[in-house]
Amino acid sequence: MEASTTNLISPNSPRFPKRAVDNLLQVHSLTVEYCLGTATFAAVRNVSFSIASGEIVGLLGESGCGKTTTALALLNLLPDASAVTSGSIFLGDRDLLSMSEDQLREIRGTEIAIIYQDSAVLNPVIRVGDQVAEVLRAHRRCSRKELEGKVRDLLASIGLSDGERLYNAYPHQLSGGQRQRIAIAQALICEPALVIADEPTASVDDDTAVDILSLISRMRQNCGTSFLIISHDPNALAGIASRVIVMYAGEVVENGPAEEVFSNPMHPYTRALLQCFASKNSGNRFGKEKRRFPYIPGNSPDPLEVSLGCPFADRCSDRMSVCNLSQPDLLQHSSNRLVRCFKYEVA
Amino acid sequence: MKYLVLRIFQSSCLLVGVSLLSFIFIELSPGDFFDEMKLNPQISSETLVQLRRQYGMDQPFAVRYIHWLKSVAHGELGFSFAYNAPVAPLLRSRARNTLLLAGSATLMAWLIALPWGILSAEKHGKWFDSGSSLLTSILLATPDVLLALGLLLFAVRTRFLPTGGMMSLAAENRGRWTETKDISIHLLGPVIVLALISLPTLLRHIRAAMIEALASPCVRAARAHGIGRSRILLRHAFPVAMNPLISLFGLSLGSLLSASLLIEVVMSWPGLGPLLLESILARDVYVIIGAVMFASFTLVSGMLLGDVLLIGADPRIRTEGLL
Amino acid sequence: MPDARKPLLEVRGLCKIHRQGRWWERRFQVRALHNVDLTLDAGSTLALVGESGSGKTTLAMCLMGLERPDAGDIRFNGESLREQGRCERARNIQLLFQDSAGALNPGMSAREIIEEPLLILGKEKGGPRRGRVSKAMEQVGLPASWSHRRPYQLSGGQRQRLAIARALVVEPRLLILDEALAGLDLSIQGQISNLLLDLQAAHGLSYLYISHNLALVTQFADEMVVLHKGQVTKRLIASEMIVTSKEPAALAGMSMAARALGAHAGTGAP
Repeated sequence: MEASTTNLISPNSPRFPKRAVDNLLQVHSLTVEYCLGTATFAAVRNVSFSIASGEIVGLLGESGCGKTTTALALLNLLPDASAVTSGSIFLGDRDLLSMSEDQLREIRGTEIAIIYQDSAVLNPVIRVGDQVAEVLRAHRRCSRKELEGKVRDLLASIGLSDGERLYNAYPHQLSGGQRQRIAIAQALICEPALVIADEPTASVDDDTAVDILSLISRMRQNCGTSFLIISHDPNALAGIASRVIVMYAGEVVENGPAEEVFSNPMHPYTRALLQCFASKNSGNRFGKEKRRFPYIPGNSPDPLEVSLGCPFADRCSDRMSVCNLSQPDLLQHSSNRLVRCFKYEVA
Repeated sequence: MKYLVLRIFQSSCLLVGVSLLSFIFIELSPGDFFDEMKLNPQISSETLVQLRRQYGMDQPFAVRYIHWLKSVAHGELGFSFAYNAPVAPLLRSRARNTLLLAGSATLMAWLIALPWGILSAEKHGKWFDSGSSLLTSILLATPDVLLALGLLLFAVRTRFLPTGGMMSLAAENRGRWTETKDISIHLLGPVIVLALISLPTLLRHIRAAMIEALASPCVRAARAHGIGRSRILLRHAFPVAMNPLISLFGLSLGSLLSASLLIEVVMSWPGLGPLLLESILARDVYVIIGAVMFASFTLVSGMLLGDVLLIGADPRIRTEGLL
Repeated sequence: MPDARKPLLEVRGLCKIHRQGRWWERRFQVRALHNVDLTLDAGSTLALVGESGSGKTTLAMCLMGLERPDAGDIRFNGESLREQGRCERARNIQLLFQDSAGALNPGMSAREIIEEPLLILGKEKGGPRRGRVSKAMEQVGLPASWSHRRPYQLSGGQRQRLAIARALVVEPRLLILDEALAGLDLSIQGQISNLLLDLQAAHGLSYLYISHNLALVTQFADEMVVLHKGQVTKRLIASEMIVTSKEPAALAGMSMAARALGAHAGTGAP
């Protein structure tokens, strides 16, 4: 079915208005395929988005929807069984997909840095201060004293007090929150333009999560660093991300300013997800009555089974007959919101 | 520090246990040194009884053991019947030669295995790795003696290497430098054989440890930070892989010693091997026990060394408690 | 039926000190629990909240018998826990971990995992045992056709369900959830929470819910106990539970989104 209304323009069309803001990163129709034995499936399908400098973008979606794969694809850190099969990634005006490994190595850490979700990212036999210095040493020519100085300054600025003792400590001597901060320091030491944070608040307690998010916010204000925060929990994005991209089954299903998406979600998946989130934070419990938790019925689609219709159709409360027959396109709706749903295609 | 003292104490207990066990085994095995003489019709049985009493062989087991311990305390390690001399001086020069052989072989084996193993791990799955795998399997399957004989054959045919012994007559008393060169060339053959024997195991362990280290999250993160490949390999992955390898190093010295005894006999290297063989055949008990104790001592020292190195290498063992 | 007047679980004056270093060294001693009192009634949920390192897991370990407390008394249904044997204790109290993947044997199939506790407790013969396993799988919503799947073939939420089935197959009275829902997708958290609520309503199960995530437990618990550095600092009952935490930007945003959503969402359950 073709879109006939004038305010629905595909991002690929030449009439699509270019952003006024400087575009730091532009991802266009990215597809990443995984090879599992003899079967191949697309973990990321036709994903397009852009990040401006000084912007904090949230990538929201359940586990397995392709958010981490997208992030890894940006720096060509995909595991051996997967590869980018189509699309383009531009950092400024440089094509990242056509770069050699050496050129990419230059960019990793200095222009785009990634903070992994895994808590074991610190090397257990190297001192923590040296590990941060390693990253700086790989990219800049500094004397040993300069290296140490810069690392200590950074550690102090991200809230690790007592830098003297901490510099010479080993990871097993630090608490979980301190280790997370060291991992963040490693990402920030070369002052990259874009930092990708993969589930920064997933396995930490609330207070540490709040501290980490405040740190991210401060970094953006002071240094103009852009952030791509990947999370399955809107809690980590609300109030800090300026824009939210929602992914489901490897595709972008919604893209818009965070405030608008959270207050007025358009895609049924986003709406269902935010309902799960809202009930958790409704404050008071009146009386002993325990309310049931909302959830999204059904299961995530099996990536090996390619469906004809919309991947969310089986779980969608607003399902229409057309939803099982063909897949909707990502179209623009109003000034700065994109959504992939047949509901909004009707004139 | 306390840990070290504890380990030394444990090792000493171990050595005492080994000596006791060796004594018991020899006690249990039939015959003794003087049985050979029984075959000689000219020696009467009274002479044998007298000889036995002279050498204290008729006394009970416990008394003999205590006598031996006293002898160890005096630095004599018992008495050899065949050589008619205390055991310790006999062992000294032979043990020195064996240590020279085993030590050099350990060094050579590790110097070859480390870079090879690291490279195999890095090129995991590629032709280099598969080829190495095949080669090590062949080496592993080949009996030690065959390797030794193969090298001797090579030495005979090509005359690059000497065919045995430790020093050639021509070089004797010709000055330090000539002597050292000469010994080295004689050393080369047995060392190569011993290194080849221990190479497959070392290689597999090193490769496995490195592959695991390279797959760990911290190395993945290092790659994501843009750190160079060789630096990741040596500065990030290898230290993590070192833990099991250090323990392996401690053990390898001891196990190489056992293998060297056989090779020494085949390649005529004047170490403990030939001495032990002839003592076993002659039932020269105290020499046997002395040689076994030496081997155990080396093994235990090797393990102790491994533990000490491990403390230095792994900060998790070294430090206690949180900051 | 559980005795409605007596609490199911009573903990009095529990103390535990963690010692590091060699046994003759007195230097490194950490007070994990100090004079902890709590009670849990049958069929209710008690939330145990505190930051990491406050002693919550240590308490769970003491209740499970995996660690021996240095002082204090734990009574389950009036009887001292120390006097009960390991099997008896396992029949009454079960524990669910946060890391379900780590808690399940990767070499066993789903059926074998659920069956194992029955085999250990030596309760039943083949036929009825298989029946109980099937019932447990059905209760948690795992299809019978998945009996042969291994843990690595299941998603995070499915693994956690498998762990719950394993805990339920012995029909315990008390289930301890140690951060069991952390890290799961929101929808899965919702589904499993609903499952736990259903099981509580149907079988009168009691839960000791350990978490550092206040927002999740307030919906779930009848009472809440706050631990800080091994000591109980606050006790709250259901109507007193308000989400209170620091108020920097992130949380301000959280409540903003929630407030905004409140106007839009309606009842909230699909």
